[in-house]
Amino acid sequence: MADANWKVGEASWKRKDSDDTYREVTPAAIILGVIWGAFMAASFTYAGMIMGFTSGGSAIAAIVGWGVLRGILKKGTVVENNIVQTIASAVNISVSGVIFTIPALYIMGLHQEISTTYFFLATAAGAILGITFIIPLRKQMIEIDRLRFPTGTAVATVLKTPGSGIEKARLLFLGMAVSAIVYLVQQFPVLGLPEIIPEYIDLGAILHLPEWVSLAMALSLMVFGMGLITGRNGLIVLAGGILSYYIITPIVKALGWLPSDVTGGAISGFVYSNMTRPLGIGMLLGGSIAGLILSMPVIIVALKSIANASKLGTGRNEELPIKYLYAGITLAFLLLLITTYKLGNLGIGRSLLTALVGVAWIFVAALLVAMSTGMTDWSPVSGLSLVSVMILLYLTGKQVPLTILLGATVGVAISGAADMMQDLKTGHLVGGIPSRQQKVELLTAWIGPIIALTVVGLIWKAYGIGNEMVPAPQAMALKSMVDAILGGNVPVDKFIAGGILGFALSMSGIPGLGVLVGLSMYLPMLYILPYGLGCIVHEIAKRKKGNEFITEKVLPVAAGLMVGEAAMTLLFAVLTVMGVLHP
Amino acid sequence: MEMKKLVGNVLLTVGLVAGAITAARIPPMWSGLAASLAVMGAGIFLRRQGAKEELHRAAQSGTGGVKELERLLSDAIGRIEKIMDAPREKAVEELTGILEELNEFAEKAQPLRIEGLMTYGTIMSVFSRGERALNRAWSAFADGYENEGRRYLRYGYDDLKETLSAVKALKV
Repeated sequence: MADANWKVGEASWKRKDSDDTYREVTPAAIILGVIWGAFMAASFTYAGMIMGFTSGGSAIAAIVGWGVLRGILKKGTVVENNIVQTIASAVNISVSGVIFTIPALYIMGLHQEISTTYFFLATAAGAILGITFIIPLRKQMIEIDRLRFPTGTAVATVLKTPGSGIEKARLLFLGMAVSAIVYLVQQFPVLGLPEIIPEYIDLGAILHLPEWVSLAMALSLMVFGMGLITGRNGLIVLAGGILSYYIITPIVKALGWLPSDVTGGAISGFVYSNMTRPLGIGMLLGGSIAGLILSMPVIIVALKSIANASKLGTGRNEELPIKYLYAGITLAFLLLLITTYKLGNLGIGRSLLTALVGVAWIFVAALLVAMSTGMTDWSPVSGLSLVSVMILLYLTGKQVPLTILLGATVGVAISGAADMMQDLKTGHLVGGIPSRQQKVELLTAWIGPIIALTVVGLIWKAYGIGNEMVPAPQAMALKSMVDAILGGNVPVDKFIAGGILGFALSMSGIPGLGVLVGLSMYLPMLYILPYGLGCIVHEIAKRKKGNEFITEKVLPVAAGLMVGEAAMTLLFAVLTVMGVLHP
Repeated sequence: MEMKKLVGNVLLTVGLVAGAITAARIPPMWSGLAASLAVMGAGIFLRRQGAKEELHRAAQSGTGGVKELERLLSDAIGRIEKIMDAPREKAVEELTGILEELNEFAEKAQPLRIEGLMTYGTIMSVFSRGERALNRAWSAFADGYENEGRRYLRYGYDDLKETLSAVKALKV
């Protein structure tokens, strides 16, 4: 039992226990994680279909965890709270995979062609696959390649705050307060108040640059905080963004490679949509495949290490056995095979091919999002969904309902993989035991898709989808993708050219260069600028003040900036669900 | 920066810019892309050569590699020995410093890549296991669970010693 001597920001929470088992996976942690994750999942499903974006929610869950475990139950620990946020984010994260895909079937009027059971099975299996496929990647990316995972690092800072001293806690809360207040003020127009701080600033217009120069910057402290934690890798993303927007765009304009009806302010958007973004998607794929080849020796070491973990002394086998990975691959294969065979009437040969390619693609896509989020915190899910749909439409003989269902499996799997890696990074930094984190995530991740699908169904019955009330922008984007692919309007040549460039870049000896440059061409400059600014500030602080300053001062502030805005995002999502706000 | 690596970086950048421009055209200018890739290839070759030589020099001068890692690990091991039986608050404070210092391990271990990725991966894997154990010790002490803290302090200590043995066995 804890006593009341514990204070936030002070490592003076005195206990008399010393012989108690260290609290980690407890009923309180599991129940709290599931309840909070379900609450976030329901809120973000509805809000995401209106506003078009979701949030992982790990950091908010960590703060709620402290509030409940220590504030109310008076007995939480750092690693127990790590379990709370792992479960909560696992339940919540699958929302993005569901709302990007399944509502598109409703919009197209195809949702009745697939039974609800298949919806549940396909998305729940996706949630489990994302977790199992990254078992060998945890050791490779977190322990050997030491990728940063900014969100995971920020959440670890939040978890460790009570024991880190009052100064770090102050900096964290200062960052949270500033970020939350700025976001709130930016939302004044939604609340019927006058605009004071805009959501973005058009530097190009201020500097009287030509219309076709895109120099708008999102005023997002969360994105700036991501850059603050990322540091050097983010500078490559900034450099790539400059290449894409301020070198390629003027050159293709000067060379007369643009259609004659594309003029003025439309130039930048045209180049981004039709030239650099597809090139970026190709680079991401090529870069990650090269990364996979180069990392093979390390992945072999990781697998050996996992296999040898059982030989360690009692109590030190902390790795999830490799049989879970094999079970995951088998499950993925069988699920894709049965679904394709039963729903697609494709015959056993074509169904086998779809299942094989599908499993391989989920692994490559999971690897890619894990690398991207590890190096920069950005997760290129929409670009990967485009490629997924393209591959699946081809494999299934252009059967749209089946393609979107399998696309949901892939979407849930890759978003789950990215989230799991972030949580495992947090776990590494607070000393959580990876196998415990992975097991609780496997036990609870399937809940998220069920909640998200239920909410989508309820919204459909109440308001319809794809209208003014529920615009479902992500699902509309997927519908456009499907229409474009069916119309033969996909820049496959750009994907191939980008893939070759990305592959070559990743062979340069600079780890992940192809992925980083690809990401910079894929992301809009609106977000690259504040992110790059954060990276520059990080590097300057590191050179002038040293590593200790980064750990002691910059990290808590950056974590606060990320958490504050994320918390406000959830608040606005809840207010939207309650009908208080109508964005 | 060493000349070979610098020239390699310049060629790589020039090749990338030219390649991205020629690939951006609708349809892509494949001949231009092929020429750009040739320039990139030359850049990659020089860059990798230069980087390898740089790692060798770093290893020999003691700015990275075996000597530096031995110093870092020995220092951390010595500091852990002093807090094996220290009061909880002292252990948390000291562990914070030790973990911050160990943060530099990965960067300084880069020259080990000369030995091959398998060797590098094995050493990093053992080191990271130890680092995670020390992180857990920190959390347990901060939470007031002394037994868990001391157990994982010992685990971390053992893993760092194992890492040190593995590093000493290298002949970079």
